[in-house]
Amino acid sequence: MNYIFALILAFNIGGYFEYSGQNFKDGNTFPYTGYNKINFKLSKNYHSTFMKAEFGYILYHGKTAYDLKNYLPSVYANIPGFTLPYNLTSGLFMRNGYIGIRWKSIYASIGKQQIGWGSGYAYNPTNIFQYKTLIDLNDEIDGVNSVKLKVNMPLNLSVETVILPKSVLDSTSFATEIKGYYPALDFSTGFAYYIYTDFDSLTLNLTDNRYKLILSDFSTNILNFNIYGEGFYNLDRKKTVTVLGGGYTTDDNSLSINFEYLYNGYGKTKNYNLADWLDFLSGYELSLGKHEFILNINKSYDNEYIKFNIATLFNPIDRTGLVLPEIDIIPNENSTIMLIPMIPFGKDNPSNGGSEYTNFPYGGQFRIKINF
Amino acid sequence: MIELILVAIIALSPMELLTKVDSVSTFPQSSGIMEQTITTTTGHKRTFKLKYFSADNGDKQLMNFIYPEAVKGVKFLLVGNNVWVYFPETGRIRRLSSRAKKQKMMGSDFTYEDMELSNLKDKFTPSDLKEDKNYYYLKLTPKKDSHISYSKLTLIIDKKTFIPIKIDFYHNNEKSPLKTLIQENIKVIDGISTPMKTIMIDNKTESKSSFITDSISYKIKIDPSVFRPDNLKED
Repeated sequence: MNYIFALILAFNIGGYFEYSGQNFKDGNTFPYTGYNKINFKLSKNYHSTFMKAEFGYILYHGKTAYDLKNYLPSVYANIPGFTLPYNLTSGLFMRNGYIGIRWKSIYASIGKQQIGWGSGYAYNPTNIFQYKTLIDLNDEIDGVNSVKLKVNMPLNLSVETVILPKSVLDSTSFATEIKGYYPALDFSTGFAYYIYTDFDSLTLNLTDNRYKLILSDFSTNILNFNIYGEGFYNLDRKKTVTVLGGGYTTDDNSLSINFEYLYNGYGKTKNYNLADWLDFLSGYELSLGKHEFILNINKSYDNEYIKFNIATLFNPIDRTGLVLPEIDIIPNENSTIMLIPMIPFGKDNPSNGGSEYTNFPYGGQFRIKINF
Repeated sequence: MIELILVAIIALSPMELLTKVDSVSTFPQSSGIMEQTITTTTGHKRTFKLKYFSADNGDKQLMNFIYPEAVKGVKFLLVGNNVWVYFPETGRIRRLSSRAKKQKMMGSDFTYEDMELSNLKDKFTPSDLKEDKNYYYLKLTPKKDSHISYSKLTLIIDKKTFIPIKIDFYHNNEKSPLKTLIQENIKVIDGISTPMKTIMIDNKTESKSSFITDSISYKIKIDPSVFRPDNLKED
């Protein structure tokens, strides 16, 4: 036991406690769901090797069993006997856990780790191995079990390869990108050969399909605006998903405005079907519609003691969207209090298979995070 | 008349004095740990700790936050006029806009530009040199192509160490300074006079931010690869 204690003390230890409570409209009620989460972060650097782990325990309370059909448009929600159960389960979790080594210009790591590809703020289509799930209570994305290899090259270029090994070689995915960082431009371009999971439109079962993608992203400055973009082309499905964005921040850093346009080649302009909805709600698709906009305005006061943020998502085809106002108060360097309401707007259109954001629930979330 | 006499007996020219100031404030490389405390307009305090590396006479700087937990591992890299930031939570490197150097850093009263106040003679034209028993007084006006966001700086320079103990930063030729920098507690480290405490006061909002140097070394060898943006992800 003493050995285990001594081993733990040899690491840099940090973490946080988080409480979150939310009330969102679910059918005709506004049930309460909350969680207490304790999160530990351990890290250790030893010469040219390093190790990081992030794990903890989450305890949900209040309503933990949901039927996601309540978030579908009436045309699907009213199908007799149709349910989409979704349960929030308390328990241990591991968000990241990896070891790595640095040798000359080579950096290799193995384990559950962040990939972090792409230049977009809201949408990251090139971060193909990590999904953002809209229905997830946490805003953190879990790392991916992978092997990462980065080789620094001359001329500020580097090559980064990510492999997601599976027990069967046919299920192994990989992607590689060449990246360059220069005074006028950052860019990446690469190739992915990977397994993509989505709902089969006929059986509604999750299916794995292997695709070949060409990936690319850039970031630059034009007239004091940060302009960036990223996207991929699916060589098998002949589809493109692209994001183009721009941002501006005032000199006192108290106001920043960011705008992104998403072209989702997998999205639709009309006649959404149930598989489209399931792909979207589960996070396998970035959007339901073919075109999406997001505008984010952030205003801070008193040296960032209080921050206001308003994010507005908008689907121009069905003219629905979401407004996500947020207030953050940072009473000291170790704690943050957040209040995040959610307000959908726009009209439902049952003949079109629903409208993208109309059926998102009204409500809000309160969160307090204390770091240690 | 008194002013003319003062100017006549000063042994140094404004440029010679600025060269002296640069020689004690500009180093090929340095590395250390600093503690930053921000006191907001309403009196709230926040403290950060960061490890920093500087090379090429301050043209390249890497700041790695080590405290508090919420920002631990966030890194800022400044190379020339470019700023990149790395967020460990998402493993993502972002280029900030070209204006970023003029913006406040992590809610403090220091801008990224303020963090690299070295090589002043390359960026400013000195003038209006005066002196008294203990201090020199110097005015600096930005050179046309320097991209400095201030309209002028006035410096009070310690005669013994040639370290500016007070700098007033003026904006848009306003009469009163926008910000005031105070450097104090000067100690000799590796043979170099070093202000161990630096305070920046925003005279408009009355907020202030201070940097206290916990440790610093000028004799350290820094691997040039730490200043590569693609290496920010490395632990």
